[in-house]
Order: sequence, then structure tokens, then C-alpha cells
Amino acid sequence: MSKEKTYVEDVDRSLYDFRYDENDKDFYKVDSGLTPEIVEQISEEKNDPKWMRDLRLKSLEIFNQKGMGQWGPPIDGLNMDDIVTYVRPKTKMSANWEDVPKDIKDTFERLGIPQAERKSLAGVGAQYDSELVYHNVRKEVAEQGVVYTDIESALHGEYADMIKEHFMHLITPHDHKFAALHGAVWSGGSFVYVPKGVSVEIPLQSYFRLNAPGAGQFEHTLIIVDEGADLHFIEGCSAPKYNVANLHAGAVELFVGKNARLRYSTIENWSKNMYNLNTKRAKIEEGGKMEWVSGSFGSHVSYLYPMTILNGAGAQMEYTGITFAGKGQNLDTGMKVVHNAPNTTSVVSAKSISKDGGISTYRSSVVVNNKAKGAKSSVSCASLMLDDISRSDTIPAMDVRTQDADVGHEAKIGRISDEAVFYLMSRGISEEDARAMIVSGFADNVSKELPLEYAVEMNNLIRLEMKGTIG
Amino acid sequence: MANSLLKVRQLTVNVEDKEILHQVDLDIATGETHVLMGPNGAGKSTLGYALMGNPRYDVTGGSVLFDGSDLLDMTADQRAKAGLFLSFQNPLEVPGITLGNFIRNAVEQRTGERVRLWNFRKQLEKECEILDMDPSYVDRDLNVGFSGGEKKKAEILQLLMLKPKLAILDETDSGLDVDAVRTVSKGVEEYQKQEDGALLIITHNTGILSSLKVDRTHVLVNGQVVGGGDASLVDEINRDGYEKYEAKAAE
Amino acid sequence: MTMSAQEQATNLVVNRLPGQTWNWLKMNDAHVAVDTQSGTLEAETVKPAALAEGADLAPIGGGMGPDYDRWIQTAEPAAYHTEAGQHIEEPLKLTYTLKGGATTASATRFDIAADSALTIIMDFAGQSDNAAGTAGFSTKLHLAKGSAVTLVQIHRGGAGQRIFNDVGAVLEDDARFEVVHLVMDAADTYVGCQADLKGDRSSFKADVAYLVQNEDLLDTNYIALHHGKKTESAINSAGVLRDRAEKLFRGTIDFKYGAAGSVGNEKEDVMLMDDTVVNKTIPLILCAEEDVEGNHGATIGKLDDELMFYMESRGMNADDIYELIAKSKLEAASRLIPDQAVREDVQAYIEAHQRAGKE
Repeated sequence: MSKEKTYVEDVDRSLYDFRYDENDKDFYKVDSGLTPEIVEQISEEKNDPKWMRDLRLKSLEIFNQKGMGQWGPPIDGLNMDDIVTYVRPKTKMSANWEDVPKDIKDTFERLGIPQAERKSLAGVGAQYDSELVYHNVRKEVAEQGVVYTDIESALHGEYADMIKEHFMHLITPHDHKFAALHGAVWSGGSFVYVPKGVSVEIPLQSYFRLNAPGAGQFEHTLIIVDEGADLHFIEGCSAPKYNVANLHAGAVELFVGKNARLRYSTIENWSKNMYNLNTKRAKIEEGGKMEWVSGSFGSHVSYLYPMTILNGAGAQMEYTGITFAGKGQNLDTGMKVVHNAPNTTSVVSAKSISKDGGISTYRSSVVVNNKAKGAKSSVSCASLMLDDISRSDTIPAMDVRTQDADVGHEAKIGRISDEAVFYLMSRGISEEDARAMIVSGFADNVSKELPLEYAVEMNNLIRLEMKGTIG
Repeated sequence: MANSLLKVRQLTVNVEDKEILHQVDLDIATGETHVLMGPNGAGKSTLGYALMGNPRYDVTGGSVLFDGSDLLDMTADQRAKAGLFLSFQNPLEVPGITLGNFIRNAVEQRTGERVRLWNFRKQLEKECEILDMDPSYVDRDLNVGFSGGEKKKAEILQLLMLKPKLAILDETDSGLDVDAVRTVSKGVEEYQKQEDGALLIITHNTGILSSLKVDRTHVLVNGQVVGGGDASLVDEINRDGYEKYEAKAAE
Repeated sequence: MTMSAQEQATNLVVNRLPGQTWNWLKMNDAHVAVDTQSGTLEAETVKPAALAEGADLAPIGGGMGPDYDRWIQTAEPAAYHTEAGQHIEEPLKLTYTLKGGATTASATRFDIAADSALTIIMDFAGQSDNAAGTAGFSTKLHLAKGSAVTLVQIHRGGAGQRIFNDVGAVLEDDARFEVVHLVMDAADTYVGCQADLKGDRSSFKADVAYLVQNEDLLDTNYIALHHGKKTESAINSAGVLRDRAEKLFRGTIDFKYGAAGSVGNEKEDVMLMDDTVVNKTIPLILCAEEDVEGNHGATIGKLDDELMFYMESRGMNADDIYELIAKSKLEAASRLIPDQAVREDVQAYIEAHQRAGKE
């Protein structure tokens, strides 16, 4: 009984020993209108089991206490009071189609997205076909014993215990302010369980999983890939998501079992008013493999660092990412990896592009602790500046505490070569197209890891972003 | 009387504030093959780059008409669409774009029409065969990891697929072994066979010319055209070198 | 560190990273507590006759930061200047003997005239007693057009000492600044080095070699600020960590808007010899200008397998090989010391302090 009360304290934090001293002048406090009553109401509406309600309330406490670090892009444009409105139950969050910004509507047009789907992506219409599409996929994989369901209903089904064992064990409310907020007001999301030895042929997509008005803001994705299993999960799509509410504080928790493999692909293209403060974390057991494929194109401000804990001997991680910061965007992305066991490896290929005054920051940490004998890590970043009004910063940190390690890092920054542009133009390609081709070529580290239709959509996105860039 | 394709008058070109070409005149008619020879440093490549529109080459005087239009007024891609082609001496690597897709894109720009994939692939394979080139290169990233010879062949492959009105070949045979020169030569010959394909071959040795029909030869020394003649001029230079012309340039 | 009633400890934030990262990494800066100074540490000076004393400089920022500048400003600086066009062959040699049981400071200022050249060798040499103490150094330079300075700073023999070494330089057009840092011994060493490449075509090169052992700490902050056009920087850091040593290398290439045509390179190479060491490396590239080229690379860990195999095939065992390589990193930097006498002395020191290979 008392165990439930101290639920959050029980959470396993032995993996990473970092403490922050919040009395430092490096932190500042933010106020919000969220009260325990509101959180209790949410919990009531969702018919949460008691442990979940306790988690929400404890998270709210932590959220109110925690400060914000000063090292990243400013979020003063984020109206914290609005968080109350986003999460208050019974709030009508749907927008009017007329209010959806023109550039979003134009992009739907250019990407050839069918009418009905557009409204759904804009959070305006009913969930057209999404339930149908989703059900069909579910049937196919259900035959393999795979569980793919929305997380809220799974909390009450036969997997309730499995979820309780894992939910917010990897990303805890103590980790940072927005993880705490998430813990308090999370809503919607997917739960996937792949049984031992099952290899899921088709990629699962979370594409149409918006199941409440204004939801998708605080969704929680929990994926458990059991021993020897194999899954590719694709989050979102490259079509822009238009949201009235402008904070995305979702959480993704991934558990990869012994010798299992999980590939998690994301093309993020939130509308340019969004504050994307998403937290993603994966824990990999012995012999397991984690692959992150990540394209960040949207949002006004992004804080996005998928973190991987290599927790068993021989565990591996590969991260391939591209970030494109255009006008008015400040995208702070990268990754974190902790080598916590012997013979673990991490390989990172991160690229970024800045144009039109955009700010792109690559931020990473590679921690090889004392248990990680034989660890190997190799990080490679490349940044492309497309004009002289943008910014591109690379802030990679390495902390190594064993002699038997091999940690390498290289980064470079530069611009599009004039010679390369001339060469393409001499074959009849216009200057604008030549630059777009070179940038697409630069981004091919990610596009070649994506299923074809996503790669095509990503290249279209790049093309759109590159319009009007003749320097 | 053949139609005038390229009319260069008093062309003066600077590179980084230094005048490299001085008042060059040149005429090429449709379907003709011209050779531009000269010692190293004469400015031969400069002519090729300036005609193609490389922004590093500053045209400070003169005019160029290409098929009746003002060439200097066009950007490089417009010149390519108008039917001008330059094979590069040192083609750049462009990762992320395959040779095949690159050529397809260029062909679409040239013709203004979408390319039918099936026909396109078949044609590519045919040209690869003529050039004794492994067709798998088509799926490799443009010039990435290609040897010198392979890069040159890739350039000629583009020439054959794009079918320009005038192709400027810049030292295409330099750095190639005897067999490769023969293959490249074969490719150029193939292009010559095409209706109206004109050529300006820039070279300082003449291995590539052995099997080609040459209409006119020009000699460039220190950025000036100091001599011209028919095909026999090539043999003369092979025998006697550039001494006579270097003396002339000094005057 | 003992505090008497009269002395007051001041808390300083030093070696701040220009682009901050996550706080939990504890790499953003260093917090140190220092007493007020009990006196200036005088140098044993060997001054070339042609070099004049006196310099009047505007404030120049160093790698350690403003807190440290404020603390050290009470120390009366030794100042020197060159005349226009003057190429001084013999180096200025400043040897400091560190004092135990005291907190001392020493500041030097250099006003380097246009087209002149000077070599400065600062040797933070052994100490008279073995008591713990703190020594703070501050070296600031202004390099006028076309001038060139080589600054060699050698940290040695400071067991039990805490040393702060701050360097700051402002370079005008075509000026060249080369820094050679050799760090061996000292309980805690903090090095900050900032070069402001203000003038066009100015260049900054830093060659750093270190050996950190026992329970020692080395905390560094190298910054190349590219303001002018066609400026160049190269920061090369190589070293060895053993026992329970801890080292933090911060290296920043900062391309400011307007620094078109500039090139910055940074390379860190660390060999780890024990499982009880802590190595932190954070190489930054900050960029607000399109037409630049920036590269950085870092390799951390054990010796390359190929190299090990090659040396083993020549009859050496693993421990011997590690000792040899550790020594070679320091020696490579020592070869950059332009003065033969000092160079030989340092090399002898390295030799004498080399440990025998373990059995």
C-alpha cells in the first residue's frame, strides 16, 4: 500500500548519476496555472488507476519546483498559463479550417495530401479514416501476437501490469521540467509490445493517432521489444501538423530487450509556432540494437535529444539525423548516449542546415562510464550554412572514465561549394534547383534510411524550404 | 555554307583581377569540329569556363553569340538549356545524387520534358557499352570515389545523353591511359555522328584526335589566338611544337 | 586550504564555456575559491637588451574570464613593449619559483609594435618548499599589424600547488600569435587562453601537451574569436591521463559575423592509461558566418591497435609502449620551444620524471 505513495521515488535512477544544483543562478523559475485539482480532474476523466493518479500529482509537484536551465534557446514566447487551457478537460481545442495558416494549407496541396486527411492533420476535422487505417494495421500484426493499441485503454487491459512496470521508469518526472509536466498532464499515445522472437515486417506508424481534441501535445509512446524481436516504428509524418496550442511535451520510452532491434524514425514538421520540447529515451539490453532516424524541419523552438542507455554488454546505438532551421526557427537538437556496459558501441551521423536567419545547434553528450570496457563511440557532424544571417553551433561533450575505450569525434562546418553549384548549372539545372539538390544530397544520410515514400516527402520538404534561396 | 553556331568577338576575360584572355575571336559553325591547342598556361581552360559562365571568370570585354542569342547575358543553366556543354577537367564529387539521377535531371532540363524511365535506362546502358563503362556506375553517387578515367568517362556519358549543339571538351584525354583515350575518343566520335553535333576540343596533346575528323585548328598562346589552320596544323604542331607561335605571341 | 580570520575567500567562476551545455555534465565552467593575494610573485628575468619596459594597454579579455581579471588586477604588472619593425632574436625568459603556504599573483603585459617579433618563455618551475599554495598568472598581449609573438609557458614542479594561468591576446591585421603549453605537475591547474583575431588575416596557433597524474586536475579553456576576414586558428591538444587524474578540455572556434574566408581547426588527442581517470572534452564550433571552414576532431582512449601491434612486433611490451608514447607527446611539444637551453632543460625534466613501465 505504502509502495504506491512512494511510487515515483522508487523509480530507477541508478543508471545515471547526475544531479543538478538548482540553487545556481543558472536556473530560472516559471509559473503556471496548473493546480492539483485540474490534474485530479484529468485523472478522473481518464479513469486512471490509482498509481497513475499518484504519478500525475507527484509530477505536478516536481514541475512546480523545478527551474529551467539557461543553456538552450529561449522559451519566453511560450505562454505557460495556456498549458492549463490545453489540458483542462472538456476544452474544445478544434480550430476552424479558415484559421489554419496559408503556408500550411499550401504545403498540404504541394505534398498531395487528400482533402479529408488535411483537416485531420490540422486537428480540425474528425479522425477521417484514421481509425480505419489503424484497425487494419492492427489486425495484420495482431496475428503475430504484436500488441499495438492506444495507451489509455491498455492501462485497463491485460497489459496493465506491464505498463505499470515501465511507464515513466525511463523518463522520470525528475529529469527536467517538461518531463514533470508530461507526467502530470499526459494524454493519448501508443503502446506497442512485440513478443519474443517476433519480427514485424511492416513499419508501424503512429501517424493518425490523434484521439482527442488538441491531443498529440502530451502523448506518451511506450514500446517494448522483447528478446530477439525486431520492429521499425515511424512517428509522425512529414506533412505539417497545425496546432492552435503551441507546446508539444510528449514522451517516448523505448525498451529494447536482449538481442532485439528497434528502429525509431521521425520526420518532425510541426507548424512554425510550436515549442517542441519532446523527450525520447531508450534502454538497450545485452546485444540489443537501437536505431534512431530523425529529421527535424518544423517548430519555432525545438529541444530534442533522443537519449540511449546502453545497458547490456554489446548493446549498440546508431543515430542518423538532419535538422533544417529556417526563418524564425531555433532548433536545438542532438543526442545523448550513456555507455553503461562493456563492448557497447555508438555511431552518430548528424547534419544540420541553417538558412534565412535560422539558428541550428547540435548538442550532444557521450558518456562512457567505468563499467564500459571496450566501448567504442564515433560521432560525425556536418553543418551547412546557406547564408551569412543564420547561425550554426556545435556543442558536443564527451566524458570518458575508462581506459579501455575508443571515442572519436569529428565535426565540420562550411557552405555550399560554388564549384558544385556551377557544375550542376552547367548541366542545365537552375541555381535554385542546384542548391536544393546539393542540400538534399547533404541530407541523404537520413533519406536513405527512410522508407521510400518518406524519403520522397522529406526531399519535397527540403525543396520547399529551399525556395527563394538565391544568395 | 554551314550556319554560324558560336561567334566569339574580342573576348577578354579576367580571373581574380588578372587578364587571362585578350580579345579572342572564334567562329564555329554547326556540325564542325574545332581544336584549340596551346602550351600550358595559355588560357585554354579559361575560354571553356568563361563560355560556360563560371562566376569566377570575369568577362571584361567582347561578345559571344550562340545560335544567334547573346550568350554572356545568360546564366550557366540557361546556356546549358540552350545547347552548350562543357566537360570538366576535374569533375567534382557530389554525394547524395546518383550519376543516373543527375543525368536524368539534366536531360529533362535540356528537353523540357519528363523522361520515360524505361527508354532512358535502355539508352544509358547502350551508351555505357560504347564507353566500355560498367553500368553499375549509374547508381553510384556522382563522381564519388571514381578514378580519373572513370570521371572522364562519366563526363562523356553525359555528353552522349544530353546531345548538346556544341560540346566543349576540356583536356578530356589528360591523365588517361592509352585504352581509356581510345574509349573516350570512340565516345566523341559517336557524338560527332549525331546530326549537327559541334565540338571544341581543348587539348595540348593530341592523342584523342587520332580518329576524329577535324575541321579547324586554333592556337592559343598567353591568352591570345596567334594562329589557325585546318586539320594539318595539328600534325605541324606535333612535329614542331609551339615555338613558332610563342614567338609570334611575344611580338 | 586554510583561511585565517583576516583573509577572505572569494568565489570565482572561471573558464566559462562560450556556448553552454547541460548543467549535469559539469563542463560549463569551474568554480574556485581564492584568498586575497598575499603578494606578487616576482620572476627571475632574463631580458634581451633590445626589449624595452613599460606598456599601456586597454583591458584585454582572457580565457579565464572577468571574475579572474578582477581578482588579479591588484597585482602590479610587469610590462614590456617592442619598437616598430624590431625583431628580437633572444627570448624574454621569466622563471617563477612557486611559493608554498601563500596565495601569490603575477601579471605581465606586452605591447607589441607593428612588424616586430618577440619570443616569451615563461617557466612556472619548481618550488622552494613542498607546502600547498596558490599562484595566479595573467599574461595579456596586444599585437599590432604584422607583428608576431611566440609564447611558451611551461608548467612543472608544482606538486601540491594550485595554478591559474590566464592568457589573452588581441591581434590586428596580419599579426601572428603562437602559444606552446606544456603542463606537467601541479595539484590543480587552470589554463585559460583567448585570442581575439580582430584584424584581417591574423592567425592564432596553440600547441598544448599535458601529463596529468596522481590526483591532479587540469581544467582548460582555449578560445579563438574570429572577427576579421581570412583569419586562421589551429588548436592542437595532446596528452596523457593516468592514476586518478581529471582533465577538462574546452576548445572553442567562434566565427563571428563578418569573418568571411576564415579557417579554424581544433584537434584533441588523449591517451588514457588507467580506469580511474576522468576525461572530459568539449570542442565547440560557433558560427554566424557562411564563408568559413571549421573542423574539429577528437580521439580519446587507448592506443590504436595497429600502432600497438607494430611496436610489439619490435619487442616492446604494452606498458613500455604506453610510457614511451606518453613521453613522446610531451617531447613533441618541447621541440617547439625556440630556445635551446630551455628546451634541453625541459627534455631532461621529462626524462627524469618518466616512470618505469609496470611489470
